[in-house]
Amino acid sequence: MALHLFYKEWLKTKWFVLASLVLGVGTILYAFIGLNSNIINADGGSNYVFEWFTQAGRPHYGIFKNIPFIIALLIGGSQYLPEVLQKKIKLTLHLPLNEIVMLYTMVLYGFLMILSLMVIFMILFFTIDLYFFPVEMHIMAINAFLPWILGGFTTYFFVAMIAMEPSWKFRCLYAIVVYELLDIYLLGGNVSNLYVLMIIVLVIASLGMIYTANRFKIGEK
Amino acid sequence: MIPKMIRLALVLLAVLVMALEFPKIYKKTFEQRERRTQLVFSEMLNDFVTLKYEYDTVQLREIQVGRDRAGNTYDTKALMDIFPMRNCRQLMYENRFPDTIRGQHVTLQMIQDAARFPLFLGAGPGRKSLLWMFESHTDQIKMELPEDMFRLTDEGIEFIETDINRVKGVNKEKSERFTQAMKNEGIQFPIKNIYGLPSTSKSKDDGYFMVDNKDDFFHLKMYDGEPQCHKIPLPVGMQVNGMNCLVDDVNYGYVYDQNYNIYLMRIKDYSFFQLPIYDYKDYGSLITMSEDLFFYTYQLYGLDRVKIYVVDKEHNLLASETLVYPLYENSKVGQRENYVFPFKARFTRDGAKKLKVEAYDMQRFIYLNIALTLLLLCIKLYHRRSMRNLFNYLDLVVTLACGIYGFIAVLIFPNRK
Repeated sequence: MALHLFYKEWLKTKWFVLASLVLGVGTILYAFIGLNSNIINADGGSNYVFEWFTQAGRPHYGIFKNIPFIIALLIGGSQYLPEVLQKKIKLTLHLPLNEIVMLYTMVLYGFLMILSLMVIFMILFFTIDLYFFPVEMHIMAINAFLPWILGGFTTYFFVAMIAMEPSWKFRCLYAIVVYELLDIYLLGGNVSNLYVLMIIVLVIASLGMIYTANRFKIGEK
Repeated sequence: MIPKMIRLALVLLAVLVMALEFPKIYKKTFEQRERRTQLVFSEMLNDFVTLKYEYDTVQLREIQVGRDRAGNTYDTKALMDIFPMRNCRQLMYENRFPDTIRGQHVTLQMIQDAARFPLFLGAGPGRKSLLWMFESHTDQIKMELPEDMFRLTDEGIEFIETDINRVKGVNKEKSERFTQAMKNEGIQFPIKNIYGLPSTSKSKDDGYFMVDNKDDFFHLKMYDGEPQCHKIPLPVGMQVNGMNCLVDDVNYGYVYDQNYNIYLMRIKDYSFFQLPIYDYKDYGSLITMSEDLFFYTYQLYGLDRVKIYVVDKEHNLLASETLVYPLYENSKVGQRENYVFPFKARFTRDGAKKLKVEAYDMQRFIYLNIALTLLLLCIKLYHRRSMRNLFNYLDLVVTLACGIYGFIAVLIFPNRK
């Protein structure tokens, strides 16, 4: 049953997954094209980019900052909007499977899709980055990517939670709270002390759907 | 049960968001900022003058007025006379620029050449990332970037060769040569802190200063491609807690000890000259230093105050004074905030960011919290919520504890059936 559900989700989201893949790969390649252009054209010659990094310049991977959030919105939106707007979710909930298991199979699909995309992006990024930079630069990049990727997952879970909410009024209110909450993942700088908070928010976001699905099930307006 | 527990967690997240945002919105909406008072040392009076903006009923606008510590008042024109260096161009234009200041012949050019933008100084760890080792013995007026960079490891120093920014690998020969020179001088790896000026915008290079694993202090530079390492003798009991390097012919830079005393380290003999600033530990880590023809001015920054030290060119203390700023928290609007919000949250800015929650005085906000709790109780009773449900009581507890944040949060995430 789970595989069938996965296939159903794939049919809904395949073009958006492809668009996300193109967006992510394109952004990373563009970052390195820009970097290479700076190296070739810079007066500073071979050490220009090192200077760029060590003098608090703007690193080439900064362009990736919003990509996990956009991808989460794309995949989450494509998964849940048709279900909710056309009330198809009621059909899904009538399948012979526990409702929570059913909903979380959908969430798991989206989570795995985003995870797979992020793994592809990171492999691509660090494969090229290894060619250019030593380990110090990779540690800087990992520290920057981690909150953004966690933020992407949190966004996806919140999209699922908001989509399952039956009332538009509350959907808007949740969206305002979530929009402000996601700022935590975009603070920048050294956020090593905030990972615990980020993970707590991520866990609560992943469970949030249970609350709104319950409201949907009992017919709250 | 589980959906209601998750709802409670979501309510607490909404409380966090509001505690982060509402006080900021309140402050931006209601704060009335005044033009800041300045405290400036006058080279003519040899004393501090407080500069303020006051409303002039004749000119019908705010004008700058100065008051010295003896109580004398200076209008805009008189201020120009007691601060000739700050107003040198205007005084020159008006043909009022004095020939001598403090008994010394001065010209506009001398004043402009001696003025230096404030340097940002302060104790703390240096940056231990990839750094350049410049050639210290050079005829060039501008630093040339080396082809390699170095990192400090647990066992020594490691030079990485670069070629069009592609990492070629570790230069083992150079790394071993430098590591050995450092070990010969007695450095115990790993290095705890390193201080230097890894910048090309300097006219000379003095290498790097390092605190080793035994808290000894060393100087390392590259001279004609070879390592030069010296152990720096520290005064008895002194541990280095920070350094700001300078491009200077007399001093290597400012060195801070474990008690936040500030020293200048001389190039001549690595000796330490203590500055007459003894309360740095009572202030934040930032110090600014500005320079003009006659003085060095150091400023220490506290939460609501700034302390200014003026020293002559030999670093003898001429005067010091503290200027206290009115804090927003102590203003009427800031005080009212205490009655509205039970606490506020913010992320710290310096170093590793942290979530900081500051609670207000409970005696002030408790009345609003109780009122909102009673209002929520009325709303629940009006909508015939079951008061046998534990979670309805928890909503009341959240509102009582978190005040306006809790009240709004429990309404955003409804708890109906």
